[in-house]
Amino acid sequence: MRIFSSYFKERWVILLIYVVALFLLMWMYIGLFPSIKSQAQSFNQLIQQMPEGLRSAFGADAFDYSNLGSYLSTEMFGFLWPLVMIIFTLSWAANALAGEVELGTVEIVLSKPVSRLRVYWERYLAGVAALFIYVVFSILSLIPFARLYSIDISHLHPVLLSLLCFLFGMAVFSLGTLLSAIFSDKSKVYAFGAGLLVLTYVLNIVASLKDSLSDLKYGSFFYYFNPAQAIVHDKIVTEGYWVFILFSLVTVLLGAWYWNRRDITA
Amino acid sequence: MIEIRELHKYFGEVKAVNGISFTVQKGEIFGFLGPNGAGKSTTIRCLMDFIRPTSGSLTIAGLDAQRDSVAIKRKVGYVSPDVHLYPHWTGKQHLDFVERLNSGGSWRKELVKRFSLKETVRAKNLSSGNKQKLGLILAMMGKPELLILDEPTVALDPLLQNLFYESLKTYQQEGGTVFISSHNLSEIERICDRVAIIRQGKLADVDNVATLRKRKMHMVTLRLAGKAAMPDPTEFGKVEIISRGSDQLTFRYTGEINDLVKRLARYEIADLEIAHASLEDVFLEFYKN
Repeated sequence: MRIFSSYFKERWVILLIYVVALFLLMWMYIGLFPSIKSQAQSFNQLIQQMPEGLRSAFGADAFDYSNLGSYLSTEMFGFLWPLVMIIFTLSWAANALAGEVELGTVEIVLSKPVSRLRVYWERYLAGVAALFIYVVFSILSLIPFARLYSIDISHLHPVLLSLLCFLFGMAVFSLGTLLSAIFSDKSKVYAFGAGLLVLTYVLNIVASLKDSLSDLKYGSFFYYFNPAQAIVHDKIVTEGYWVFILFSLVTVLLGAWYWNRRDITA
Repeated sequence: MIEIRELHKYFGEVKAVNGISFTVQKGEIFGFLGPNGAGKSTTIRCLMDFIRPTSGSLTIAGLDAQRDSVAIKRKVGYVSPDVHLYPHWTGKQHLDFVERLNSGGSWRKELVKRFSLKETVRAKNLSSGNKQKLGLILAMMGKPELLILDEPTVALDPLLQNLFYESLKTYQQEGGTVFISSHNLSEIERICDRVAIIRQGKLADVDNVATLRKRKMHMVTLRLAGKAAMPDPTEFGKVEIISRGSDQLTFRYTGEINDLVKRLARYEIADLEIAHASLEDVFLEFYKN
């Protein structure tokens, strides 16, 4: 696991920055919750006046600001957390392969007794480990912070939310890894990855705006990624598990196949 | 040690390498000569399995370059023309990393000392010469049986180049084989036993450096005595005039030297200088043809 450890060591500071930033964000949201809760009725009314599509876009369709889970899923997990996670995972994936090809440093590794597939899988596993740390620290930090502000969370399900977020993250990271295996340029991984995810995000919103297009939601990650359902109602859309797992498997295997057969040249 | 048979590598319509075949024997220093874009790096990248040939076969120590890539790389050290390093890593971090990836022994200490490498400097702060030094150490430290060097001295100053040539000779004496690409003719002439010349993706020739130099190509400078008219050099055979003055003629002659001397004997000569053509002249002749 030398490639795994070297890549992880190289990027742990970046991981730490993301984790600390989300840690502080969680602290801020939970710190604000007691005052938000005291004015929950007006917030709820305000959000209720928003168009359904907009509420759905920001994960506020199951809002209730008197409930910490509902508040967090609207304020943090509806938009900001997935956005930061997408940036984090695409950046990690882009640097793992395309970045190395672009920089030429992939030659250092591939000129040694190391197979292409070993490089691929160890870099992928380093990303999975980073994603796991990212998810665990950014989500489960709500437990100590809730205690700090004496907020009861016994009715919430942060572990299930972590699982949902991890699976969603795996799907995005695997897509990024596939793109990173195809391209020799990090910027293309960002462009195509972000482009595809924005497309699926728009699909989900469009599906919620018009009944005749409602089936489009099945083509969007954001339909399956419903943090409010997970943290408040202890539920994940049944297909969600399979969609994220199968998508991750297919993309990561496709990436491995392509990486193993392509010409590696910047 | 290396066997390349009918190697073709096309990038779309571009025929980067178009059917080359040659072998490199164990224990020799083999030069791979050609101008930029001739197909040298493409061939080397196929050998290293960075890119895959369109057709043809490449073997190193009897192992297939693609199928047995990992086993081959236990035996091979490689240097690229622009050594690519992790900008934020120090030399030591690079050496540690490669040492862990290499299996077997290490010449790390000896090489660091020989090349006077400062291990604590980050790669982004190294001069191009020092980057090249580090690249050479990374390639050689795993005690490889074969060194594949793609224009390895481009960034080295003359002192370091000499040190590098000496290291290669020592390496050869210890049983190592070297495959080195270059467009620096004096470098090839100085260190190589045999050379392959590649031109537009095709092999122009493979021969001993000494034989190439003796390709019956000579530089002739002739000065006639008195006020005799300068001869028409074309009467001597295959010549190319380099310079022509009222009393001096310099030309490149290709052919039997005896025939030339017999023809020149008809003139009253004040001064005559005949020298072997440099490898560069031989090389240029290949490209002209």
